[in-house]
Amino acid sequence: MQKPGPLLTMRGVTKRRGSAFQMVADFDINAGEALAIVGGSGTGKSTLLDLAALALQPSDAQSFILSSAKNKVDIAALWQAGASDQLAHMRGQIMGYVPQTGGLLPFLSVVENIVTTARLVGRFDERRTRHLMQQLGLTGLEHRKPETLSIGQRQRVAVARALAHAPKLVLADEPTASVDPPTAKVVFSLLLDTVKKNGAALLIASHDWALVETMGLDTISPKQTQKDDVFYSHFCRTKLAS
Amino acid sequence: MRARPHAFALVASMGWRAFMHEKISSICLVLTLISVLGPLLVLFGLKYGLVDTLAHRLIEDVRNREVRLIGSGKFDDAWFAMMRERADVAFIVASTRSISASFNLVRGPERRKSITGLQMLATGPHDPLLDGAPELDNDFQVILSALAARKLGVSAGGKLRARIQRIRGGAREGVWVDLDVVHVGGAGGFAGVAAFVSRDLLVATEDYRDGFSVAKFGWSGNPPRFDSRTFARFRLYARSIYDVSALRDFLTAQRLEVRTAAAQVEAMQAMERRLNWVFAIIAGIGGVGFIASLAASLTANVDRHRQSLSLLHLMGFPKNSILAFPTTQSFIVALSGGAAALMLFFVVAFVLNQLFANDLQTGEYICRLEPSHILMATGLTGIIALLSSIWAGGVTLNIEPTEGLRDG
Repeated sequence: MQKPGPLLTMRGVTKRRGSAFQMVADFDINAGEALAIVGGSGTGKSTLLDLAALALQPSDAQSFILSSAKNKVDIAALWQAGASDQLAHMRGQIMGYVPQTGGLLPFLSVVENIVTTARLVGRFDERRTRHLMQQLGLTGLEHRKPETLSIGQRQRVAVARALAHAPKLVLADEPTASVDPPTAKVVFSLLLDTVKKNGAALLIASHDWALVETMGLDTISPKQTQKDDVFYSHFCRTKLAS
Repeated sequence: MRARPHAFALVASMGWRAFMHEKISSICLVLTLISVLGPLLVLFGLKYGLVDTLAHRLIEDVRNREVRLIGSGKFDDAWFAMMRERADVAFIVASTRSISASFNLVRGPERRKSITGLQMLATGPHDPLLDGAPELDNDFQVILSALAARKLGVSAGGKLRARIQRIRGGAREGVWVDLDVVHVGGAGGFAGVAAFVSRDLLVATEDYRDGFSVAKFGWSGNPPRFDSRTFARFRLYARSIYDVSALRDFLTAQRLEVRTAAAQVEAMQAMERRLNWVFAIIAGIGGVGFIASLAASLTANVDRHRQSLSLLHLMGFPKNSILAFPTTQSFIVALSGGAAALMLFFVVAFVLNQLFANDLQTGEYICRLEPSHILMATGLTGIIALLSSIWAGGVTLNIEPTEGLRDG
């Protein structure tokens, strides 16, 4: 039986920021795998995550492939064709995103926030939603508005939302950046645990090396070089120094 | 790939939820609409109510449709036939010289009630002064004005004796005519003391006074003349008040001096035209201001929700579906603001109509709108809402999915 290919392949996926910065991504992520994008501020972690989330158009790409159940989609070609709605459709179908501070819709209740994408893509499952809320300790908060929640609770709602439609790839952008260290560890653990239990792949951007190391995640980190006044940040799989 | 219909529905419901979530700013938006649309409706209601009332009064009063001849002329049957053919003529009947067109004495059923010199007006089918009255079947039937009937103490079905006198060859002569009152009262505008009689009776009266015999009535006198008959005067009514000017001009061109209410009608029409302009200018300024205000408010709303809308796009909502957010809010504002403005209009119109109640007749209003006006206002508000949402929608099309990812 043929081994399934990577869920996401980024080879030579480049994003230029002006004339002085260039980020290049070279990595694969497989189904069920969890990877941490680590690196200091300004190294391009968020840019890489945006590219992987199909939310940012690459400047260049040798190979940028997303594998769905039926076929492989050339993301770079879609961007070049200006197929923004098809990219949006793929984001909804395949991805879940946990923004830095939750990014909840303030006018919707907790449960409405959680099921928004699931409703859009036609995968609303009440049992799954209830189970996720239970897993993330959100039971009882269903009808609360985001403004009445603590930051930690909002992050957990965002995690539930990212998973409610059973995506294949979950992307999280510094999900613990605005919480205190004990809460950060709880949110991180919950995210890892929930993603694992739901069989999704995880790509998580973090500047918290220690936390990533504690969690034992494989990492993608930038190799930084400078040539002719251009700052290069080349992301590929690395081993964390212990 | 086209946006799926339920994506639009989901975003539209979010537009509604966001509108309800931000009550204060939503109320401000609705108040903006009320503050523009409310006064416009009242202004239009006043314009329409006032002009309509004046026009109604002019139209209802048949005197305003009358074209009165000053002096006298010589009008034969051919001339009357030609006039009856005109589309702007509602009614015309020949009349005799004023001096001949009266009974010398009319006695009521009670002998002590009588009128001397009762004016005779020839009538015929569709006389505007006798709207609703039966037509005269013979020359001995008469219709009395309300005032004449009161003075004579007679009502419909009563009988009268009328005296017609002349001086012939130095001797005073006279005849009595027995008349049946078939109806009392003329149209609302007629307040005089008069008897409406057949044209033949009026002509016979003139001939008798001129000394001739009238075989039809058995009145003796000089042999009747056999030259073609002409009439000194006429009673003429235009089809509508708007036809009066044309009739006046036609008769003036025939060197006839006439008096009409055309000047009043023209003044009313000129006022209506000027008010239409005033209203159009105010409505135009108000409408443009409203579009700008609503569009700016909706754009500000979209800007305030920029991160949320960007997140929706990131979560998989097609860009076009996000248009449903400002569009829904725009229509909520238009519907609720429009309904509130209408309620405001009805309250103000009621108060104004009550304030001027003493100056108004039954069925008249100083401030009112027809259902068609309300439908038109609703349609215009919808169009304004659509235009404003297109403006605000343009902003949503520029929102990128990455905008919602940071600084949340």
